[in-house]
Amino acid sequence: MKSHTNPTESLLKAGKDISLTSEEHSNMKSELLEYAHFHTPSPAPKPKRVPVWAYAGAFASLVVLIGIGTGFAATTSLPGETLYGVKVEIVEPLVGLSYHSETGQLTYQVALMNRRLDEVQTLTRAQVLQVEQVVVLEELVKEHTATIERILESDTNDSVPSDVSLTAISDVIAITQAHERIIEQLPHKVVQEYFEVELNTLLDRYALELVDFEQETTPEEKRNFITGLLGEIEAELVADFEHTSTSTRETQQEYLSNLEAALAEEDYSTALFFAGEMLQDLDLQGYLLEATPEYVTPSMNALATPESEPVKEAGTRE
Amino acid sequence: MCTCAEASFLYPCLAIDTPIEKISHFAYCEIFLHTVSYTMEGLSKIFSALYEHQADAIFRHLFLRLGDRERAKELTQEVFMRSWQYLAAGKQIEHEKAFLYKIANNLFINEIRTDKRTYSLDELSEVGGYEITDEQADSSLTAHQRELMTYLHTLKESYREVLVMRYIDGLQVKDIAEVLEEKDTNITMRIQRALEKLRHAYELNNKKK
Repeated sequence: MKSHTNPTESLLKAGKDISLTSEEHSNMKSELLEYAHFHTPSPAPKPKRVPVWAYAGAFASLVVLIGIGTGFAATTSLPGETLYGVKVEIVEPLVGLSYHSETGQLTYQVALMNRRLDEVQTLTRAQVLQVEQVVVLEELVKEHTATIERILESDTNDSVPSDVSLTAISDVIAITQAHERIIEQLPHKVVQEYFEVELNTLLDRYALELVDFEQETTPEEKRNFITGLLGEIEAELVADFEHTSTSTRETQQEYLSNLEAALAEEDYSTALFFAGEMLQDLDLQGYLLEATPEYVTPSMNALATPESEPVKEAGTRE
Repeated sequence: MCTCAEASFLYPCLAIDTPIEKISHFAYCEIFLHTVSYTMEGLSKIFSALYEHQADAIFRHLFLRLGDRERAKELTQEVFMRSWQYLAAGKQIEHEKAFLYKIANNLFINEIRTDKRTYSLDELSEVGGYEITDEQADSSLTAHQRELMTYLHTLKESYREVLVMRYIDGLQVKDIAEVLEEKDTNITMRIQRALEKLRHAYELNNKKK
């Protein structure tokens, strides 16, 4: 067996010595290296790591998308809705930044006033207009009006053509009047409910102040304070005499008598109580007269001074 | 130097600044890849090492199967070009020897499909043997090598390829099976038959003499 395999094995071993000549080897190598040089590798695969900036970019994009979506949703919102604040506090001022010229700003402010008018009309038609919404709208209209006036009165208003100014002024007047007419149609019941809430808030605030006053002052200080206060109350009673109804006057006089009696008896707690009542009465009256917008004057006046002549008196206030 | 335990076979891993002449064996492992191959210089180094250690073997393999030195050189060069393309594409070679022989085998198959002269070798062997003509004679071969070439080409290509791979290229049966994509047992059987055929051809020739 061995004698049979040896010749073939030795024959096959001879094949192991076959190789390229050194010249062939070096030539082929140089050609291959040249080939490799001109066939630049494609970028090597790197581990798939998401860089931090990609996360930041994605987050920023998400925020922008959410912001745009919210802004878009907010543009159709109405007073009283959650996104209305976004609309008037963020979206509209941001859009306003794109108007660089005074003419552009003027036109934009008039457009915003028109938008407020549309909103109040929409709410009125839907019969969902509340006093809170009216107050918000009124404030916004005042802001737009003030901005328009500032633009028109500014030193650089030469850049605003006169026809644009006149158009803006006429628009402002028309829009304001339209607002007032719409708001005047508000049901008195709604207005009354609103001011009852305000009244309770006011009473609570004064009650707390009186408690603090009683706890933090000595009897002597109380006496001096109440005496001083009494003088002021009497002066205010005289000043408001014309605007005060008969029943209110009687109530105030009763409070005043009780206050003076308590003070004479050195019962400062009772004196403070009646002083507080007087203050509440007088301040509430003043608050209602001062803070209530003109458009709710009739009902407000009815609430504040039920027995007086509401419309005319309210209309004469400054 | 380090040793990569994750590689399918343990080769010494080379530092990125290892000079090419100091590479005792083609090293390839995960660490080597991550430190070296991601640069042009690193890839060239791998490629040079691959060529230095496998060029002669691939050439020998192709020469013995083709029987044409010039064509074998061309195909050897083509094998390494394809290897470069593979490396340059960022792919990893896990078993360089099997990888190169697989390319060589594919190129050889393409060659015999397209080259009528080479393709006719099988036919020639079937009708009574093959002899190297003067035109094909290679002055660089020894008498034994010429004799081997003559006997090898009396065999069918399927016998020739396993004999060359097993006894001349020194591949293990499992490596041959991987290259030819066949079962180990088939390769073992074929090697036995090929040896018998070779022995028979040798004895027949000696009897004639």
